[in-house]
Amino acid sequence: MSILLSVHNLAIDYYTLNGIIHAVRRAELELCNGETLCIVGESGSGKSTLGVAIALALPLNAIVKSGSIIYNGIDLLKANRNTVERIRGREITMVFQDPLATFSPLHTIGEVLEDIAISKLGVTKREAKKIVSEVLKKVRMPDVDRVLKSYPHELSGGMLQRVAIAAAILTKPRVIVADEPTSMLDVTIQVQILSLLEDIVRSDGVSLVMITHHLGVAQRICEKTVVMYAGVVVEEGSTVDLVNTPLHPYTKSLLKAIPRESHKKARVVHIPGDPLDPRLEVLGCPFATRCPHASNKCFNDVKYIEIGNRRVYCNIYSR
Amino acid sequence: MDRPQGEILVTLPLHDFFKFLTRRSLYMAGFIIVIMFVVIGCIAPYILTRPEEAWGTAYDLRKAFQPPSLDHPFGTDAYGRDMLNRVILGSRYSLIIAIGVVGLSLVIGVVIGLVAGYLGGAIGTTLMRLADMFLAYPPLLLAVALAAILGRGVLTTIIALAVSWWPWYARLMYVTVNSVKVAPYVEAAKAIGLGRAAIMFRHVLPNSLIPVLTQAMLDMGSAILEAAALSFLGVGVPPPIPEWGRLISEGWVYISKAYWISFFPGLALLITAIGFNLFGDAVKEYLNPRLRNIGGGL
Amino acid sequence: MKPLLEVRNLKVYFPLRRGLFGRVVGYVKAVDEVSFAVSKGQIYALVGESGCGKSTVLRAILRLVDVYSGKIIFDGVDVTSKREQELKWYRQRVQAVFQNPQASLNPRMKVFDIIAEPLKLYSKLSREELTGKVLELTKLVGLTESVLSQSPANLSGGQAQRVAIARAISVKPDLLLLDEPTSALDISTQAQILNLLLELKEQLNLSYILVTHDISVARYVADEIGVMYLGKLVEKGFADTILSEPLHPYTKLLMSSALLFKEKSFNSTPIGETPSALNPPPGCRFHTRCPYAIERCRREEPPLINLGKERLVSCWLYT
Repeated sequence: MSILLSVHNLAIDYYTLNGIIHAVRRAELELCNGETLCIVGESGSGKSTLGVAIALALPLNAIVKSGSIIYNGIDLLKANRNTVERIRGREITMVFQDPLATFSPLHTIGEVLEDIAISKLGVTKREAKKIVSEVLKKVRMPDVDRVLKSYPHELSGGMLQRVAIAAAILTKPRVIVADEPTSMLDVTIQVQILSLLEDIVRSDGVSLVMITHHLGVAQRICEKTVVMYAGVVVEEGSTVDLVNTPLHPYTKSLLKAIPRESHKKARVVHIPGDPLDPRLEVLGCPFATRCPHASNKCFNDVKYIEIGNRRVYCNIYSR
Repeated sequence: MDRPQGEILVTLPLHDFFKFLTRRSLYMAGFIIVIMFVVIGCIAPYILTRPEEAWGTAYDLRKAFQPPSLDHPFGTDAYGRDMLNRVILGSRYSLIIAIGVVGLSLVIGVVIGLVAGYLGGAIGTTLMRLADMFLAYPPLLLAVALAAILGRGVLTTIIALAVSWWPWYARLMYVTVNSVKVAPYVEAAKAIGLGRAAIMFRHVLPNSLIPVLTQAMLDMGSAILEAAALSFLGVGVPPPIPEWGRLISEGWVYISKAYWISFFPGLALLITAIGFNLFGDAVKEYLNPRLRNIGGGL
Repeated sequence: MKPLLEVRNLKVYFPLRRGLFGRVVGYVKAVDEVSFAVSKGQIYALVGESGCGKSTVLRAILRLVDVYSGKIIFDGVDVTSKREQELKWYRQRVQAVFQNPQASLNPRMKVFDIIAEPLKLYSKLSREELTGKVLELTKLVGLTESVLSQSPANLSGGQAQRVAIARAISVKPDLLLLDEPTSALDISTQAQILNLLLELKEQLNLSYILVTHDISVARYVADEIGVMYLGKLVEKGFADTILSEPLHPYTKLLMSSALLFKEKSFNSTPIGETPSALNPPPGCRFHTRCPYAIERCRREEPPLINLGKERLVSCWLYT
């Protein structure tokens, strides 16, 4: 499979009133054509920031300290404005977590979607209406005509997320970044949305970057998974491999903390220690303070080790 | 989020507020003016160089209508009294009245708003209609009526203004309480089994005060202005009290030939009002929810 | 053995008022005839998606909302229509922990006072005795003394939830009601809190009613489960049997949507969305989304059918 997008040595800081927050300290990943990739992590892991960076939607107080995001041979972080305008919202689109916050409450769904079509595809209003209708049917929206005339607050969360996905595929993008698109939805709706995304990936050959805190979601639709902890990508590999034979101590701990059966049969184990303060500078592996296998070297000298088609940020695996 | 949020709005570290102020010179100016006003207002009686003239008990017609000079930086008035001293002493009255008005109307408004908001129903509606009634009354009319009944004076002015002011705080409190009373921690308090009074005063009240207090801070400037207006019209404080409004009124007749009698009190009034407005804005902006977005969402 | 808590035919209807005089024009039937019982030392889980009424059931038990009809019987005493003054003993024995940890703690109080509040209400202790008890509770939930002088805003989600738990168990209740206690927490913190709850149950001889939308949490802790849909209990029984062999179509749907690890799929992708509680479907409420719906389901509402061994299902398929 050919590589469509790759992230190298990425580091992103946020400048805030509370100091400088190191949201992403070290990120490496590769997304292939038509692949579904999951970025998994707990809160504070930097997964959202990484996703938002790929979608070229970083807020103004975010500074890229180092690294590159190569898409189609172009480094998105150093590209000129025209290139960025061409790619953002068109070739790389985004679906957000809160469907209600994604849309302006003052505009109908039809207005919003037609607007996107007209501004991003340069079509006329009539053509836009046709495209919008088609894309809503594609996301299996019931009662398309009514939805077009509705305002966001008149629709349920599940329907709004379908609209959000419709907005994301309108421009026939190459990459869709979805930031926890189902965490605010009921489980039975969640499954519908995930299977919709799966079908779109399969039928259109889009690549999907899914950000989630739920490994179950990764298992359901993602071929590849990337695990992040405290701003660092600690492991990358096929989802099946990662879940069955986790390499990084953090991944192992994470899997042990997920309840899989009654407590009478097996107890979950929480990860000892405290999460890392995002304002601290970290040289080696950020998990070292909580890792049962940590050595002195882990605190200041760690590299990515490639094992087969997997990658791990851990000294245990260095020769 | 499962990591420490750091110190946010709730504890309001003062040094953090100070840092905020130093970054914006206008707000800093407002802060300085307010501090100066409060300090001068407090120590005024002790720093007067010509106390009897300030209090209005002594006068010397030979020195009347002297323009500003080294001896009398603000000039002298129709009775030969030094204006600088009068203006300084006047700040004290403005301070007392402002604190009195805002304080009294806060107490009334907060209690009524709290009860109306928390209990709701018929009681809440009745109390709010009562507030509306008081709002409808023009404060000036009220002040004149009260002055006729109670006589002029600092206390009358305070009461007159507070009576027409409390409905604003009551309304603000009512609205805030309505949203606080459905907060999860209030529900938790009910689940624990706390009685209504305990919930109202320990849980709802402390969490509803910030909007009212901020508004009160902004209102201090207006209080001073309204009191001055009342005194200017002869309804507020009586002579010879050197309240700024009074001083302006006293000098009004002579405005063409001795501008300084009205000018300097007026200037003091202007600067103080602006200072309070700026400071109130600073507090409002500092407490603004935008500060809660610390990490930009990791 | 007499159950600790019995909920009999509980109905919680919220009136809809229109017009100048607040005329009642209809009802939102949030809880529509729910019955179940909790024994001493048991963990009962109420499972369902948003809008099913499970949280309302908790609030009814806590007497925070009015009961339209039905009974709540605690330790043999009918507490449904008792007035507030007569309920003090009840409130001491039935305490609650809510979903959003920080929001359930008064932001203007210090942690020490938050934990001490129920103690001050229900007992007369000297200052030293009070401090002693609070310190004991702090240790019991695994917190360090330093949190006692903090404000809730400075606590992490896990710490805040532990404060809430300490507060709830301070007056030695018999029954603890937990409304989605770990939904807002990270996986690792969730593991910690769940294990803490299990420990406390043993140490203090508690019983729990846990409300959750997360099947894996229910599976981990519950002895018995009640599945709710649109205000009705559709299936009841022992946790292990319900989870391994779900009978009601909605339970099956929930299980297959839950993205649990290494589970065999019970069903294909769900269809449709949950109807509004304002206008529930006639007959069986689930028939609009049920792949097995027959004509009878559309007309008549199925009763809870007893299949033996404490297993009850509300579905025409099982007559």
